[in-house]
Amino acid sequence: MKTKKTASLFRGLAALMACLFVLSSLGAGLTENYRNQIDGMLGTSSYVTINDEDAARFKKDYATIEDMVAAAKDIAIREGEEGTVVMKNDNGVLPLSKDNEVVLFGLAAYAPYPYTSGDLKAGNEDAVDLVTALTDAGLKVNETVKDFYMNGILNKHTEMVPNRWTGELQEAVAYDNIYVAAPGDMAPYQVVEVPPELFEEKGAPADWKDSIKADSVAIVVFARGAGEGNTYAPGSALNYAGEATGKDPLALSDDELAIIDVAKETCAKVLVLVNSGNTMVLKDIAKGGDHEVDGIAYIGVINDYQLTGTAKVLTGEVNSTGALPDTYVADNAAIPAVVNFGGEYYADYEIVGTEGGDARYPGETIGNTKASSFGGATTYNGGHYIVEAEGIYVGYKYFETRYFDSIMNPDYKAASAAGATQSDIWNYGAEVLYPFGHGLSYLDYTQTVKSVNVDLTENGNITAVVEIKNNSDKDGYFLAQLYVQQPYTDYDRENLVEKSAVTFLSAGKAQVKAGGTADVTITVPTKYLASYDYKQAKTYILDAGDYLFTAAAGAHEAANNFLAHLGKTVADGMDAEAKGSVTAWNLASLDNKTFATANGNPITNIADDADLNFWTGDNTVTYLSRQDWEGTYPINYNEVAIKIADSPKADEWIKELRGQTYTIQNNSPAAEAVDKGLRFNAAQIQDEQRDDINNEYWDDLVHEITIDEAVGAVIHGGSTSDTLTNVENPIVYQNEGVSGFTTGYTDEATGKTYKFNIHSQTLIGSSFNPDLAYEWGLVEGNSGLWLNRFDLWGTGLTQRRTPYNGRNYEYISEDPMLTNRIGYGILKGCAEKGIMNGPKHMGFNDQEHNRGGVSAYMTEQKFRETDLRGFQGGLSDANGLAVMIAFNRIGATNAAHHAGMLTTMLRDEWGYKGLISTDMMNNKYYFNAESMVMSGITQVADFAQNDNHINQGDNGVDKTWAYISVDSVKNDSALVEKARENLKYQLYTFANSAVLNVRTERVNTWWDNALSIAKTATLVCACLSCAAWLAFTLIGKKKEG
Amino acid sequence: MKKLSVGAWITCVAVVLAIAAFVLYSSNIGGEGYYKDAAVNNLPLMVWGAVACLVVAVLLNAAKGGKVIELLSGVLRIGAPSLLAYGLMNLIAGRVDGLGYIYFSNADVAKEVQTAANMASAQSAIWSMGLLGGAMLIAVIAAFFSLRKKNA
Repeated sequence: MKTKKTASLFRGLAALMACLFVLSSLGAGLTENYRNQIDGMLGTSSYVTINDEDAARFKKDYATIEDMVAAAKDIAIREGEEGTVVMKNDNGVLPLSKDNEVVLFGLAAYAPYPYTSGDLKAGNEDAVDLVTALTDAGLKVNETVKDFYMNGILNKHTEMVPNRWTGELQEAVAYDNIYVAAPGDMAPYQVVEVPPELFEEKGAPADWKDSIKADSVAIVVFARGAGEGNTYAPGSALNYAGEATGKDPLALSDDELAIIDVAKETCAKVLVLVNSGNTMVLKDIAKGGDHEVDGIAYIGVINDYQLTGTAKVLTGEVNSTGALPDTYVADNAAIPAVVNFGGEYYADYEIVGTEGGDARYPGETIGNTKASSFGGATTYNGGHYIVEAEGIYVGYKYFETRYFDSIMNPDYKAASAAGATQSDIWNYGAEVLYPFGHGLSYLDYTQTVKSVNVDLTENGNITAVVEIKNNSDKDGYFLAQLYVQQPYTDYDRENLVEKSAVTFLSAGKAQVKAGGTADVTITVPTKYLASYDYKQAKTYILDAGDYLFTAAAGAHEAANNFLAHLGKTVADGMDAEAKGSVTAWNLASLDNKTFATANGNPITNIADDADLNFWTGDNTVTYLSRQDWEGTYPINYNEVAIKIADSPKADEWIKELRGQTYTIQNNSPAAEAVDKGLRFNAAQIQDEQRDDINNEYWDDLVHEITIDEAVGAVIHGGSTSDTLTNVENPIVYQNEGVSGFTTGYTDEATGKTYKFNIHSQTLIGSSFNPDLAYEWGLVEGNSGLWLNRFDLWGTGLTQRRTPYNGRNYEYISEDPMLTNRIGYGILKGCAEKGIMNGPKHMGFNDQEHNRGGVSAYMTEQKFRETDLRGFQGGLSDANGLAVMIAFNRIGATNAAHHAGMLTTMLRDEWGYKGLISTDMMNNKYYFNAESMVMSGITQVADFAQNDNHINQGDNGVDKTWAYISVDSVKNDSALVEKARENLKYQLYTFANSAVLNVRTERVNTWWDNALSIAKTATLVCACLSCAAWLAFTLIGKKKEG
Repeated sequence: MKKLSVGAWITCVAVVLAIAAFVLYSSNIGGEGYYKDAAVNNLPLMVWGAVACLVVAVLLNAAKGGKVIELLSGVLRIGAPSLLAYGLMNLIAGRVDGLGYIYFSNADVAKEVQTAANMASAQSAIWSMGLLGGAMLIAVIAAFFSLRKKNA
């Protein structure tokens, strides 16, 4: 009996222990899911945070602030070295000889643009001006001319001027005479350049010319200003006296040409430096011009140190490797995009306005007139439009394609009068002064494509090896540019798929020994070879035929290489023989599959309604097609009476122009927040959460956000991202600007403050060097880590559609692919340092004039292959972390309402996971809260703080959009869920940035250890008890037996 | 009935409690309220498996048999509480989020979520967990007792 009892005891113990083992094992798994809550209840901590810098996910590359500053200066100087473009170099004017004195003429020679510090220029104490840079480079500057310019004409001083934003008076640098730094909003532009006849009146000695030695070289610097809200008005120039001249403000004025003349009179040679982000009209001083000079160089919009690099180029200390990011023409009227520029009203624009008829704004009279760039009017601002009828033919793509067709395809009527400004018949040589990609190297070299490999897969690359041969007797640095020509087929002609005869792909640079060779490998995603067919395939296609690759010193040289490859010669009309060979890659049949999907999503039309013809219902607009240059050359569609009321979609059109892209629904209750105790912190966000936005943590986290705060945080998102109640994310401050962080770093040890916004967008563009852009991205990112600032509007990637946009100085180029590759470099560098660098202003900010409402109509091919392609490299290929959306409309739709662009393209096709911000929200009738949420905007830039709610207005409604409240949105689950999804992307991005720049480690708490011991002990006890039970059971049976 | 041992009686109690827990669980997911249609993976298998183990163990002991029968019965009685424990943990894992939501949300949310149906559903879930836990405990206790009544 005793044995039996003992067996029962052990059976019971075995059952108990097995049971406890199951409980402890499954319990351990369960506690893993509720670790944070258990920690909270028991006061334990499952994670330790390691704050030391070595453990940071994003580390500074520089040990001291001095090293950081030195790296920033180095990049800025290299931008000058690599971005300065020698456009014209005759009579040996360059490199400048140190034996000859230089004489500086022009206001900008002594105060290069920009002369004030701010967003665009750092203004550090050790900033280098042109006189200093040239002197440091070993040149002697004529003191007499310098003296009367600086002390007589310019007379630098300070004045109290009102702050643009606050109106507060503040001290600012001023001059008695200075070029106009801000051209205004299509206002008359005064070209302030003091003509030589006034020199003596302004303080020059009567014998000032005698001070100049006969062998001196004149350096004449001309500048053009720019700025936010600024747009040049074609033909609006005023002279120094303030008289209208009828000339283009970007052309050289008679006063400027008088300076040229006096420089030519007094000096042996004349070099002109172009100090502008807007391409100037240089016909008068170019070859054959009435005031032709010996040399012209582009120096862009400089910053603190770039001129040191420029001086190294001018003196030949480094080879000239910069290239023009834009085409320089004899007359801006020759640019087809200029035909449709500025915008005018629809014939019946008033019908969009309302007198109390908008249910969102009961009783309010809302107009439809244009507003200033900074808002302030009660208007939908949907009255103005432009038609971008030039299609993909922006910049060189127009000029080089037309040149190519004038020789290769006479049936296309390239040599017609349409668009000709210099003679009755269009002639490339007369219209174009300096082509895209042009830049004269001091050292003779050739560039040849050695091999091209095209990986024709969705994520494949074109890999081209370009051999650079240094034909000179000096070691040097050289630029290789890769161009392609895609086949233009019957299919294209039939379906209006436009192809540029020359397309820039990318570039690279290399050091090459004298007489030696070096290979430059250029890699660019194959997807950029595809064209968008919006009519037939309604996706990206690659035509059958030969794809021609060449390396060339500019787009025009590339065009000639292609023509020669196709059997043409100078006898056929080419203006020069080919300088390089062509490598062909053949595609046997049309491919409409490979690039018809991206990231698992189909690619098809998303912007049919961007076409004005979609609304008018007929062929109101004829978009430029190379198959008929004459018949399709753009007309000004502002001179065509477009009546909204005549549209078969008039109601829909009016609704869109009123900003009602989305209407709040009332039939699907939204789920309120569920606080699961998740929080945004390093303990809960581990690699598995950071690596996968689909990790359930993110969905659970954003579902802790209440309806009020989910919608509120999106529509009141900037310029500070506030802490969300149940998320407890850190506040993230947004920072300007395109030249780098404007915030100064103060070294506690020395008390010195240093500013890192020392970069130049214009010169990084003309450097044609994506590697340099990447290096700048890393430096920009490092500066963010030093400043503890992680969110920056730190570059501009909008295409320069015309020379007149006041923001061109913030952008890179007229070419989408140069912009794409430079953007790729900058954003990649920043992302690697955890800095959210958001490029401005995605979505056709083609002009500042009426940017807050103008409709830009276009085809979907233009939509996909021009401005947006410029952003694709940085945001998609480089996994950029932020972007700012343009102000204007795409078609009738506010760019910030454009779900096709922001969700279908940016998120789905491009796989972009970063934050998406609007530009300045300054007009509640134009920016529609619910439409922005539904498009995918993650933060609306409204500049307030602690305003994550839609109940801060009177009677608990939203403070801006009074029709928005918890009650009005709580029955629209799609809206609320989209708001949460948008915030998910934003929080996910914060987690992947330096905002969360600490490492955490999981440690075992006492209860982890207890559970672990319990599991082991109960398992052992269960096994032992089972064994004992078996033994006693069997012994008992034996005894019984 | 008088022939049943204390162990068998206790086992029967465990069986009844397990069945009661399952019935309550079934009504919980079948009726109105927060846990409507919120079935828990493997729970029926675990509960009915445990019930079967216990019933078979009792029946096996009612029959005359040798050590194989006794060993088989013992294994079933050791295993049954573990199955109930497994089921209980799955039930807790499937209910804890909802219970936290219903009982521990902030005031605004609680006002929305603490409806009569949801509260009844939550209480029913708690009861089913309690009954299942009770069944497990009683089954463990039963394992300490013999299923055969001592001979007089």
